[in-house]
Amino acid sequence: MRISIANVQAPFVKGGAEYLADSLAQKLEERGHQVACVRIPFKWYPPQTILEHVLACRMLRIQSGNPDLVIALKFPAYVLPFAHKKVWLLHQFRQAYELWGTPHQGIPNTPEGRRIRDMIMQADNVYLREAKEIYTNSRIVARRLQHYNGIGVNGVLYPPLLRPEIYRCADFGDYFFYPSRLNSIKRQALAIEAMRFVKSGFRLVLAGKADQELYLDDLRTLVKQHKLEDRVTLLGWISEQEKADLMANCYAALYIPYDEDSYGYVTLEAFHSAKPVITLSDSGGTDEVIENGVNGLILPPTAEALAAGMEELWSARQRTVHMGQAAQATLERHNIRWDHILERLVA
Amino acid sequence: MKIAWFTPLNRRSAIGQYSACILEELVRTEQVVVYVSDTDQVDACWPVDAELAFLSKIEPAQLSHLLSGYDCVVYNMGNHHGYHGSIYEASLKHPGIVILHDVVLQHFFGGYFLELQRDWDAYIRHMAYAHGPEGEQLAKLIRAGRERAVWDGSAAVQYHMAKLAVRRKYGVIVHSDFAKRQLEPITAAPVRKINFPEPRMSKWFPRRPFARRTTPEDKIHVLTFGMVNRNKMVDLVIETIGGSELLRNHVIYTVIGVIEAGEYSKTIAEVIRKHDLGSCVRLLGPQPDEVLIESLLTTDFAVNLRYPYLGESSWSLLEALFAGKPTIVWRHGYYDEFPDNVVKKVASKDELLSALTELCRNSEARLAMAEEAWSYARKHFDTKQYCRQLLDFIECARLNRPILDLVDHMSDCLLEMPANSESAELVETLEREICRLAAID
Amino acid sequence: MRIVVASTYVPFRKGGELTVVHHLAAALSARAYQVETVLVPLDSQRPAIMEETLAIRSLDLTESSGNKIDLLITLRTPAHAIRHPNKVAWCCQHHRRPGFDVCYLPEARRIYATSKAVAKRLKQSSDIDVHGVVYPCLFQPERFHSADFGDYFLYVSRLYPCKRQALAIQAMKYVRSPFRLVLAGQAEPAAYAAELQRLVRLLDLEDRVQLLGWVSEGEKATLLANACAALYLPTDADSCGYATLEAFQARKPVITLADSGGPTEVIEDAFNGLIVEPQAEALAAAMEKLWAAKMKAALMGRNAFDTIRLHNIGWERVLEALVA
Repeated sequence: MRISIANVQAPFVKGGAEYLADSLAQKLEERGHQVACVRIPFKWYPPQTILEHVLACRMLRIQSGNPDLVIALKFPAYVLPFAHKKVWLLHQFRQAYELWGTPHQGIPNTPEGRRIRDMIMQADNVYLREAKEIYTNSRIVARRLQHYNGIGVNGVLYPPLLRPEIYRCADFGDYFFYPSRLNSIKRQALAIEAMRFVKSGFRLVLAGKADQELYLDDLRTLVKQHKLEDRVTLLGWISEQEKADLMANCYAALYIPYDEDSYGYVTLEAFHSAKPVITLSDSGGTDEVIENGVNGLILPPTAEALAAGMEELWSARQRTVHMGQAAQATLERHNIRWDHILERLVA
Repeated sequence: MKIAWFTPLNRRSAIGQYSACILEELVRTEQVVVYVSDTDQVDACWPVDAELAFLSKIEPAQLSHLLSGYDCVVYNMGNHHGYHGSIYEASLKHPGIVILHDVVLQHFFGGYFLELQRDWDAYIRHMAYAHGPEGEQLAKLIRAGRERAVWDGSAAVQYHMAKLAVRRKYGVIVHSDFAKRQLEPITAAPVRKINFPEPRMSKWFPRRPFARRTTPEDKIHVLTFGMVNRNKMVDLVIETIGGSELLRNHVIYTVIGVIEAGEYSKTIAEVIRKHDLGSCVRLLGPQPDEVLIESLLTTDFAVNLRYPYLGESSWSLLEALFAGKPTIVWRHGYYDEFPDNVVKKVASKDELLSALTELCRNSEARLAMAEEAWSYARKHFDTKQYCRQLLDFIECARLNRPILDLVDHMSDCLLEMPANSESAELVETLEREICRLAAID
Repeated sequence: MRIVVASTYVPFRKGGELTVVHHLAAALSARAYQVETVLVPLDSQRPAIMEETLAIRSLDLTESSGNKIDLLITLRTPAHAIRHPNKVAWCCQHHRRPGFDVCYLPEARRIYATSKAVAKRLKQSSDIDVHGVVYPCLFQPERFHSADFGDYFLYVSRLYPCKRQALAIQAMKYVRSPFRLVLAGQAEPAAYAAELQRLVRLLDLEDRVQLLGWVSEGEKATLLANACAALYLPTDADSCGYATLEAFQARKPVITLADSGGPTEVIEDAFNGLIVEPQAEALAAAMEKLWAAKMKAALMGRNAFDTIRLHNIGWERVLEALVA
C-alpha cells in the first residue's frame, strides 16, 4: 500500500510526534509498504495564524502521489481532506482545551480569542469526524476527545518502542535508573532530594541531555549541597544501547514527570527490561499502565514518599523481580507492539 | 478596553461634538486615545479628557504598528472629505468598527478621489465596486460631462457609497433604522443602530420644558438652525409663510447657520423679496453658541426639513427636542422614525402650510408637543446608554473579527494572483470551508 | 543562522525534485548553518495550482516556536508564494505556464534561475529579471570518475517520453559499430518500461540495447566511469540536468539534441560533447563518431570536466548566491 503519514512541522523543533511518525514509517516499510512522511509547517501565534493554517490544510493536496491511506497524527494535519483518512491522535490543540483557563492558555481571553478557540473546536468537530477511524495514543486523549468534542474513538494504540529488542533483563543491580531529558517537568531534582532520606546503600543514576544548561547546573549543585556525590550519578547524554544496558542491570526504574499525557518511553523501556517503574500520583498518564503494587509503585509526590517507595522495593527483592515480570506482561495486556498498531491502522 | 477613537474634533464639526459628548462618558470606564483627523491644534478642538493623537503627525507605517496595540479601533466616517480622508485611509489598513454618520458619502468619495487624489480612474473603479456596471457607466458619463455629478441630485441615495466605507469593518454603527436597512445587505459585518447621545447643548437647558402661553396678538417665533443647504427647504418655508395671511402677520422666522453659498443664497434672497418678508424673516448667518441656545430656548417651535432625504440623522433635531420644542419635519427616513406626537410630520406643501398654521395658532398643541418632545428625548437619547450599547456591540462584533479577518486574508491573496477560470470554484471552496469553521449553515 | 529550504514535491516519487532540496540542505549543514527542509505536497495530476498557491501563501515561516527563521530559500513553484522578509528564490521551473506564485517573486530579495532558459521564460512571460543564473550542482562530485572508455553509450534518466529514450533506441538501428546502448532509470509510469522493451524487441536490438531499470548511486558512478560517452536527450528541458553534470564530472562527453534546451547551455558541439539534430540517424552518426575516435572522446571528456569550473558550477557558487 502507499501510505502518507500526515504530521505537523515546527521547523528546528523535534519532539515526540516526529519520533513517532518516523518509527511508524519505518515499521510500515518493514512490512513492505511505501511510506511518505508529509509534514505541514505550523505556527500557532498570533492566534489568528492558527485559522489560516487550518484553512491552508483544507486546500493542500495530501492525495498527491496517490496514497491508498493517510494516517494523520496532530492538529491541524488531521484536517487535510482525504477519503481514506485515519487518525492516530497524539493530541489536539491543547491550548483550546484542557489548557484553557490555565497560565498555558496561549490564546488571549478576549472576544477574538474566544471565537478562535470556538473555531478550533469546530474544526475538530467537523474534520476529525471525516476520518474513517480514530485512535488515540492514550486513554486520557480519548477521554478528552469524548468530553470536549463528543467524538468516540475506535481504540487506544499505545506507541511502542522503535527497537524493543535491545531491551532485556540481565540483573537487579544496586541503582535506581531514571533516563530522560533533564528539565523541571521531569523533576529529576525531586529524585535527588529523595536520596537524602535514603538509609540503604542503593544509588540513583540519572541520564539525559538537559533542555537548558541551567537545569543541569542546578542538579549538580543539589547533589553537592546534600553531599550525595557517591550516591547520585549524573551521566548526561547516553546512546540508546548504553541506556538499554543500564536498564537491563538496574534494580528498578523511575519515571516521575509532572502531569504528562503519555506514560513515556522510559516506562516502556523499563517494562521491556522486566523492571518495575516508580511513578508519582500527579505524573499524569503513567497510571494508565502502571498499577500500584503490581508492576510498579504510584507514590505521593514528595521526596520522603519517593525515598520510602524506593526503600520498600529495595528491601523486597523477590517481590521486585515479580513486579518486573508483571511489568513485562503489561506490554502484552495493552498490546503495546507494532504489529498490533499496524494491524489496526492498515487493515 | 483600550480603544482608538478616530474622529474630526474641531469645533465646527458636528461629529466632533458628537465624539466629545461620547468620550466624556466613555473615558470613565475605558482607556481611550483619540486620533484627530482634521486639525493638529489642541485649542481648535472640543475639550476631551483623553489623550489626543494627531493623524497629520503620524507616519502611516507607524500608525499600523500603534493600532495593533488596541483592543478595538473605532472610525467615525462622515461626508466631509477634508475631515475624514485620513480616517478612511487608516481604516482600509487596519480593521475596526465604523460609525457611519452618513450613508450616501457621495461628497466624501467625490472629493477624496477627484479633488484630493485627482484620480478619475479610482473614482470610476470605486463606483463599479459599489454599484456594478451601472455605477461604472454613470461615473464615466460624469467624467465626460454628460451627466450631473451624483452628489448634486436625488440620485445620491441610489448610488450611495456606504459599501466603500464598510470595507475591512467588523462592525457598523448607524443612528437610524433607515440607515440600518441600507447597510445590512451590503456588509457581512453586524450592523447596529444606536441612538445619539445627549447633545452638549442640553446642559444649558432649564429643567422643565418651557413653552410660552401666547395671546392672539403675540408674534410666534419659528427657528431653523444648522447648515442651511438646499435640501433644508428654507426657501419653501419662506414661500409658504409669504403665501399665508395669518403666517405673514404673526410669524417671525429666524434662520441661524451658514447658508450654502452661490445659487441657494440668491434663491432665498429672491423669495424674501418676492413676498416682501424683509421684516419677518431674519437670516442671522452663523452665530456663537450662546446666541443659538438663547434663540432655541425662546423660539415657539422649530422647522427642520430635509428633502430629498440623503440618509443622514439630524443632530439639530435632537437639540430641538431636548429643548422641548415642537419641530416640523418631512415624513421620511430618520424623521419618520419618531412618534407622531413628538414631531410634526409633513409630506407636501399643503401639509407644511397646515402644520405651520396649526402650530402658530394652537398654543395648547404646542405645549403638548413640547412636553412629549422633552420626555421622549430624555428617555431615548442618553449618553450612558449610548456607551453601554457601544461597548456591548464592540464585544459582539469582536467575536466576528477572526472570521472576517480570515476572509479578508484570503481575498487579499486572491486579488494578488491573476484570476482565471479556476477562481470561481476556489471561491466556492473557501466559502464552504470558512462557513464550516464558523459553524454557519 | 536558521535557514529553511522550501519546495513542493510529489510524495513517493524517487529522486528528481527532492534531490536538489536534500543536497542543498546537506551543503548548508556542512557549512554549519542550521537547516530545515519544508516540503509541501503538490498534486501533479489535478492542476488546481491556484488553490495550493493560496494554501501555501497562508503558511507562516517567519518564525518557529519563538525562533526567528533568518532565511527562506524557495525552489519550486508554487513554493515561491511562502511569505518571508528574507526570501531568496532559486527558480527551477518545470511548468510551461507561469505558476500563480509569479506575482510573489518580486517579494524575494534575490531571484535566481537554474538556467538561462528559465531566466528567459521568466522575463518573457512575467517580466521578471533574475539576479543571475545559478546552475544546479552535484552532491559529493568526487563519487564520479573516469576508468575507461568502454563499449557502451549510457543514458541515465527517468524513462519518460519527453526524455526520448525511444529515439536513442531507434538510433541504434542505424549503428554499424559493435557498441551498445545502456538505459538506466525508473519508468514513469511503470508501464513505459515495458513499452520501451517492446520497441527494442521490435527493432531486433535485444543484444544491443539494455534496460537496467533503477540503479543505485554507486552503480551509476561505475556505469559512467566505464562508458564511452553519455546521452542526454530531453525535449526543451529547463535545466542542463544532473545527467549532464554527472557525465562531465566523470570526464565523459555528452551527446544531446539541438532542441534539448537546458543541456545546450553547457554542452558545446565538438568541445565537450556533440549537439545533433533530433533524428535517429543523426544520433547514430554522432555515437559512431565518438566510438571511432576514442582519443577525441577522452579529450572532450577532459573539456567536459573543465566546463564545470568554467561555468562556476559548484556549491560555493550556489551558497554564495543564495546565502550571502
